[in-house]
Amino acid sequence: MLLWVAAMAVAAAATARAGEDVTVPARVQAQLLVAVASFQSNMNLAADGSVQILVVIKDDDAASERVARQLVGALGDMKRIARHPHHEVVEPFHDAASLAATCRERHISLVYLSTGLGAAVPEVAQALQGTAVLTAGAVAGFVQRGTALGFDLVSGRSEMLLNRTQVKALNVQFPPTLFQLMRVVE
Amino acid sequence: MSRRLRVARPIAGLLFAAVALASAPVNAQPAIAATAPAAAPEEDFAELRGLVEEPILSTASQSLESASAAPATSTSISADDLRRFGIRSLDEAINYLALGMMTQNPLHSVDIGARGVLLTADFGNHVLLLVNGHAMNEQWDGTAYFERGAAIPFDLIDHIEIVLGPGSVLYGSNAMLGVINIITKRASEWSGIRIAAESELPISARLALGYGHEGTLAGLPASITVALDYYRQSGPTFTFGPQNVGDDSVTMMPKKFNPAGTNAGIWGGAADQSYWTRIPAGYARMTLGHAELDLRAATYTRGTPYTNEFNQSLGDFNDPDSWERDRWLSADFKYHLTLSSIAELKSRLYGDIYDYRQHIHSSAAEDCLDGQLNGCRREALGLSRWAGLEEQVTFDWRHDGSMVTMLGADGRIRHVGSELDIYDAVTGDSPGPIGYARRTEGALGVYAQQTARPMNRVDVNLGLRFDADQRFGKHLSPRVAVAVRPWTDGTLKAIYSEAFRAPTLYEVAYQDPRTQVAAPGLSPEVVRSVEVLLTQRWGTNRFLIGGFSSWWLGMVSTQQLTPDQVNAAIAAGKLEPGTTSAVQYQNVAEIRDMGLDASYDGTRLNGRLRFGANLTIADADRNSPDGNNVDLTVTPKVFGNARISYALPDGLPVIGLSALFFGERLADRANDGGFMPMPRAPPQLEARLTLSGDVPAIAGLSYRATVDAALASHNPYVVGPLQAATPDHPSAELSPVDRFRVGVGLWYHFGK
Repeated sequence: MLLWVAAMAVAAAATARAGEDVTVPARVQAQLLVAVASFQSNMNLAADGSVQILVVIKDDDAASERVARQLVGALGDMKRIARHPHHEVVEPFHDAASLAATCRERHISLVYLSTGLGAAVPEVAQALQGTAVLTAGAVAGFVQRGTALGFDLVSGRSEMLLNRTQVKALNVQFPPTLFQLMRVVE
Repeated sequence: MSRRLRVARPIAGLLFAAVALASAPVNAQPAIAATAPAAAPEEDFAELRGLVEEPILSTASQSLESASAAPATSTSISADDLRRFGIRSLDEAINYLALGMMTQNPLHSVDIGARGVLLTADFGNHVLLLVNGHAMNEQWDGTAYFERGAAIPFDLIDHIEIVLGPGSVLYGSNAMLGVINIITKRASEWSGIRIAAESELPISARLALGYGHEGTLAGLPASITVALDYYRQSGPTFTFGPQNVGDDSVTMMPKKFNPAGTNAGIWGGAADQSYWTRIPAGYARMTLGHAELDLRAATYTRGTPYTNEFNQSLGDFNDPDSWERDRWLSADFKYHLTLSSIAELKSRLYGDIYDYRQHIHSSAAEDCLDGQLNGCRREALGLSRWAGLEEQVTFDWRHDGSMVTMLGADGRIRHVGSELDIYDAVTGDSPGPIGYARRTEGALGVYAQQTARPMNRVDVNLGLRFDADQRFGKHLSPRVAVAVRPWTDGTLKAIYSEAFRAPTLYEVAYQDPRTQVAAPGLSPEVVRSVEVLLTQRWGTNRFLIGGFSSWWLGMVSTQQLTPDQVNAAIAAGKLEPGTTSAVQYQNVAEIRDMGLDASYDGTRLNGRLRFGANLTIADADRNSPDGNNVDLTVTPKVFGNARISYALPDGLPVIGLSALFFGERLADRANDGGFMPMPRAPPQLEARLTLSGDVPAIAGLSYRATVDAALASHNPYVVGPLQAATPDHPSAELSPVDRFRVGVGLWYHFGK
């Protein structure tokens, strides 16, 4: 039994992204994400009028990929977002500059950062300033690091977290009263 | 046509209609997604708020999911609910805020029931109580407590999930009426140092100390939450009797209820020293990376103010030195690991140490052994130690949660024992233990759960668990649940599930050569349940209505042995020669239960106004071995609760008003006490007004004040030594209710 505990402790120590646990199910995150995005008054739209969602994963990271696919699966069950058709793409993260370029080229409306990308959040936040791209993270702690939106589980209910500084920096426009529903992080 | 088939047809019809609706082309657009992106009006936030308010559950399927998708009827009670409505214990949370479950208070550990079924004196062993997934029911008698004796530091609770109906498919024994899972707060919600002091004036006091911190250790995220509670209660003073008991059958003198023998032959008076409780409890939760360690230590010592048929069938009146005590020490180590893009492993290693001791003084010779003419002291002991390992692997085959297989195995080894020693009050001598038993047993549960979304808006959950246990043999527990969302934010569910309760060591092994034969061949009690429910959300409103029916088979109760059986037991050396009457536990009774649940809750005014109500109507009867059907005792056929709260602006208090209702209840001795009239507790309405909030100008200090009032003055328990009618006492005396109480409390969070 002690061996078992020791093995688990070693495994725990060897796990790279411990602490980046998803506390709100991806399906619920998708519902909340779509609901919040619907209130953005300056959402980027593709030339065909569709909402483009870029789901970014950490390369060769099984957990990151699974969370992303669960989110995409849930988004796929929704026919429209803010009355627009929508399209989701899952891509691995390389660097923030490439990500920003991709957003500009494809008129990305929303970037969702999956697990494993906590360290990259600050540079992504910097790179996307002024683009009106709404950023969201799979992990609640990403909001403190610089995504505009995130989700946590408190008292058995979803809690939406919003980084007001980042929302301004991104130039994402929401009705101010929306913030009453969120835990605002400066 | 069988009764069961008659129930199944309407269920099938509803399912068919729902699947047909779900299969039809749907403009699969949640109402919120249809909102125009610009100039969103204020009222549109109601939909978003409704999404945020939707409970996220983890107990029913051991994975996070919204309440509407869970394969069971569930209630989630948040820490905010507990604060708003002045809830101080688990039984209060159940009675004031939960759907379908309720407790009854005999002035010691409460009885718990659900949907019209309550099995008196079961020590909570038909409900599985979990704390962060760790089973609290011990392995000797299945005991779990739901009042203060649950011994969980209450301020540490993040939320409570109450799952109604059979839940053995993932949890094994005891989950017959339901599963209650208490989830404690994470360090992010419990940071810093906290102290609290609370009282129900002037009878109780609770002191609490808490600490939480999160940071990094060895490069990994780490956190710790610790909470320590000390609770003590003394009173209120209730007056009982007088009950004219008459002569002691041994001494042929008036029966003594105190060592001095004053007022002999009469039981009763003011019980001003014998109703008390002491509970020190501590809980700690530590995380490092994906590993978590939970530790719990607690003691629950209490005195019961009257003799009864539950825990204390004899003893002196108002004796401050007669008590019961439970002690727990628990550890639970969890770890989860992502194995691949589809597979995840969860491991759990756990161990518990538990003992129970009952210490009862009796000055009456007839309560004692032969020759103990000056009374005796009874020392009953139950103990259990157990350790186990659970491994669970989950495969998300399509990477998107639409087809998930969960496989698990939970193996444990346990050492259990019990004995009763009766010591002479004068000499301190005992002839040796009665019913002495010690056993080491192994148990293994293997389970599988398959969830699937075969089409948009349809979720299926199939589960099966196989238990092999050295105490009772083998048992299978299946569950089938289908959830269909035929229209926006509406869900129709149909659930079939089974559960069992392993016979306790006491039921299997207790023997007394003069009165009782052991029952090594006992089988588990089994419940089978069918339910159909509809949930609908619109904006911040949620509504649920459901129907259920359950069949309880092989219920364990003591049976009088026939003369032939007694003679056979004597010949086998199980009873003393000359014994003419004896009992044995047997799987004999059945219970049939059916009824309705309904629930509604909502918010208005940006969440400042919150309200809700729950109602259950149930009819359950017990088929005894003699073929007679009797109504179950203690449990009401109609019960529910309602609540409303309003958060005043500008730092003013939150006002909460909650109420519970129990319909008329048969007393525990109604069916076998021979009392006239048949003893019943009247309908009960209890209400609680709560004011809570932050103390102005003192950062970190908050307060709560409550006022409780109850209409009815009695609970459905017959008190005193007269548990059956006599010519002098043809009617029953019922246990009293504490009808008015004021409570106050202060909480301080350092550095807030």
